[in-house]
Amino acid sequence: MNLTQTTALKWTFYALAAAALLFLRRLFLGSMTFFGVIPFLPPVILAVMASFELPRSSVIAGIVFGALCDLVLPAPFPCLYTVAFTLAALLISTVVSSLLQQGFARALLSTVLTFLLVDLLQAFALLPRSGLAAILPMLSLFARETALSCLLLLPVYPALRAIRRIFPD
Amino acid sequence: MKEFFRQHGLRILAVAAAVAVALSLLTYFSSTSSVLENIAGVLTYPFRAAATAVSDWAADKRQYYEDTTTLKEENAALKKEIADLRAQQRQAQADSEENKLLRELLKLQQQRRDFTFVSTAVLAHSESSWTSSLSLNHGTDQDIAVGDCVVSAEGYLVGVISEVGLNWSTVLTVIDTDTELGARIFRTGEVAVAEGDFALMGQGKLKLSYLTSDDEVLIGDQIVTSGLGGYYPSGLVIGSVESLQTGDDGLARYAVLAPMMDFAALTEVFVITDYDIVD
Repeated sequence: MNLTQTTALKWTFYALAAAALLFLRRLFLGSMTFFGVIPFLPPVILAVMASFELPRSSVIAGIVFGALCDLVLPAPFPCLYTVAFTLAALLISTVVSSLLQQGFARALLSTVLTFLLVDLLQAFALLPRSGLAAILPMLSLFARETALSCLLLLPVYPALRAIRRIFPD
Repeated sequence: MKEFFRQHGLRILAVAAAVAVALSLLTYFSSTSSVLENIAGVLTYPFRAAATAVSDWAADKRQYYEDTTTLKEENAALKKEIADLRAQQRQAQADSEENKLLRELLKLQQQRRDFTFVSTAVLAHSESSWTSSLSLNHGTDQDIAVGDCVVSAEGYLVGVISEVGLNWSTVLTVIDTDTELGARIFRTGEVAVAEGDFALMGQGKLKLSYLTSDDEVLIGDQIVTSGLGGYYPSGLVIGSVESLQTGDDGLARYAVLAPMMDFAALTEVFVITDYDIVD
């Protein structure tokens, strides 16, 4: 198999794994909330993928996955996830990768960074309407959402790492 | 990192900007949902429906084994409430007869409230804590349009359709920060605006704003849609007043409203696709 075919197969497996994880999250967690927060999976998946891959692949994944999320999920403005995921993928695959070795710690930091970017953009979009009084509730929501969603790394990281091991660089 | 930016920076920026602008334009120029959004919604529909069906089945089984003492107490409270409601209904019937007679005497037009409902199942609840929305299993195939009101089985307002595709639609609930409705205090008839607030959305509540100092709002007052402007039908119950607050400026008053239902527990709702109201 040549490099192009291997890359195509790897990203097909990533896509299938992401779809399966999203389906299982809906199946098992449904509309449950924990400490008033809904566990949000897409940023976790993107963060882990970007922490494994080289910058160009990560950024392309960020753009594609972000665009798909923008088509399916409601958001304060139309291209929120495209912008956030692209930026997150870029920062993860360049800055974060230079700070930490590939592993769970890098995936964890990447997840926190992705949530920071997504929630910052949402906050900027909602603040003009909600006013400055909403800043503290937004910070509280960001902290709770990130902490809770980091727990989702426990099933996500091994699943995507398995694919990475099958298709090393 | 510098090397990566030198080689690919412009290309990445161009592609990301092109995708972002395309998504924005598609959304802006579409009255329902863009073609891509519609396709994405139709493709993900069976997976969302399957996952919701299985998790609802599991929730049903779990609830079957709930504490019977709690159920017995709830049953007793509901029986008392039914008795109270029946008494109110008898009074209301008498008032309605009197109203009909007076309208005939004064030669006024008959009151009419005709609604066309479409029953839909809730496919999915909010994926994120930053919005409050529901996904439904019908769309333009059942003449659902953006701006249609959605009510629960009891007739309480759930929200307004914000996006619609071929066989799916999205409802922004009354507590979402993007929601803004003309409202009326049922007891006094005073008008105000019911709107979502970020801090209150986390508690499952919303705000009643633009109260004047003359407005007599009491805790427990029912708030309904005003119907002013003709965008939404009048008389749909939004919620009840839970508390009265003063704004940050110390002058403006607002009320905190509690919706009449738990959005997370909704499995079936009704979309009002057409209505004819004569007051």
